[in-house]
Amino acid sequence: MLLDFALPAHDRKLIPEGRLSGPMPWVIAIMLFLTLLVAAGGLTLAEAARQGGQDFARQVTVQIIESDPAQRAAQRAAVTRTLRKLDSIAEVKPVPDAQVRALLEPWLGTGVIDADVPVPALVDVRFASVPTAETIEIMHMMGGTDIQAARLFQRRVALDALLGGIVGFIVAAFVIITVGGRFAAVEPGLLSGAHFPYYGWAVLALIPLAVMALAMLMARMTVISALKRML
Amino acid sequence: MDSLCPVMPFVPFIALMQSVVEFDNVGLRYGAGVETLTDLSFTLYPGSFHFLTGASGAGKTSLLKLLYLAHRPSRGAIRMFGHDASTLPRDCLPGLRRRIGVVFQDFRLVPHLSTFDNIALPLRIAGVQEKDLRGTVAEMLAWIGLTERADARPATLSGGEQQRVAIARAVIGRPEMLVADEPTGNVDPEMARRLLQLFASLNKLGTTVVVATHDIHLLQEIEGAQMMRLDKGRLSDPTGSLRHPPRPLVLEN
Repeated sequence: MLLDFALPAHDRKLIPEGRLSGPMPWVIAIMLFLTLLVAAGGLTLAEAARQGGQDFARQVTVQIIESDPAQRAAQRAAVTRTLRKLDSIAEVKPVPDAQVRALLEPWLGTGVIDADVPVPALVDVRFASVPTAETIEIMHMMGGTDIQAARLFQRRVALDALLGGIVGFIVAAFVIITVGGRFAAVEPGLLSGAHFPYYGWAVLALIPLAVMALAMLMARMTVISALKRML
Repeated sequence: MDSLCPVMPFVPFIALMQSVVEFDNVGLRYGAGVETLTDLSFTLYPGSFHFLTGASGAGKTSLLKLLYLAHRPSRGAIRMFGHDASTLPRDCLPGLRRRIGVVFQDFRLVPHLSTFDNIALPLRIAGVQEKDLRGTVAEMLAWIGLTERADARPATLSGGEQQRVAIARAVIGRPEMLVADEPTGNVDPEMARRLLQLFASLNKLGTTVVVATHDIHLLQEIEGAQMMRLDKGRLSDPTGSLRHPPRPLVLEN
């Protein structure tokens, strides 16, 4: 196919070759630009998730900013009590004031922070994890079939994928409409004829559904593969 | 799944006086290591109650794993509920597992499910309708004294409470065989007696019970209980009851 580029000069003259003239190169440039941005963003997120992912997802720090030390302490105690009542929280650990001051010393200097300087109160919160493999194993030991376990996790993954797909679709629709509006305002000629067709919305709406179907298939294969390793 | 599994007509084993479990010269090894269990041969009948004792590392948990079908033996044969569990196709095993209640030593509660949902899990797996299981689970919650904690997650329960939930989950389906690994290890003596009485009640209804424990004093709590003692993977039989079991309990209609 690449050899098709090596046409003799006389043949190349038959159809005039533009130099970035007409809409096609620009449309392709924009498409490729957006595709590369999305791919780069996806790869970066995947790498970030792979490296630090689980700890990041399972731990947050609550910061309480209040200048009055008594009120700050009371608020920290109230937040700690409230969080400890939540089932989805595995551990709530108020950070001692001395530790917070030690954290700030590299920026503010040693001995600068005394009791009168208001520092935020911090509370470390660890979320309880949902151990998928463990749940599968428990179901398995109670006589659950591979298909039963797979169906449960397919459903969970499908809901996650659908929710993510809807959010992604809404954001994409907003960008498409906004960018489309800008293009419409551009001087006719450069991108004349380039507009987003109405049927395009139907095509785009299918993409989240396709992603959901793919996610369900992957979940099913993963769960069944894990179960096949058990008796 | 079931189309390839041997079909056994549903006749209570207690009526047929068949064995629930038969071990014939069973050995178990993990990987290429030495045998963890060696030459185990015994028969468990319906309505029998057994305490499994032995030092740590003697193989109690490995034997229980064979009983609740987490492993197949490396050699020998195991018949369970009339099926050859050593060779039965993998897809047929869930049907056998549903007839066995298991209390794991580390409880193995599903962490994101409530107390109610953890106890209801075996019934849901077996396909019991929601309207039919609610009353049963509520009764069980009341029995173990955790009605007020029905919505609590395992992480917020004490060790003793988690153990009671694990036991409730194991017995709620009225299993034909109950296998429990140190089921009274985390509860006070009063609760331990109540739990053993629950096991005894099930046992009187025909459930075969195997309880692994370090506490041989529990043997005195259950009338007619037999002792299986494991020593370095070999089974000794101080009461002589395993190879020459007493006449099985027979229920009359």
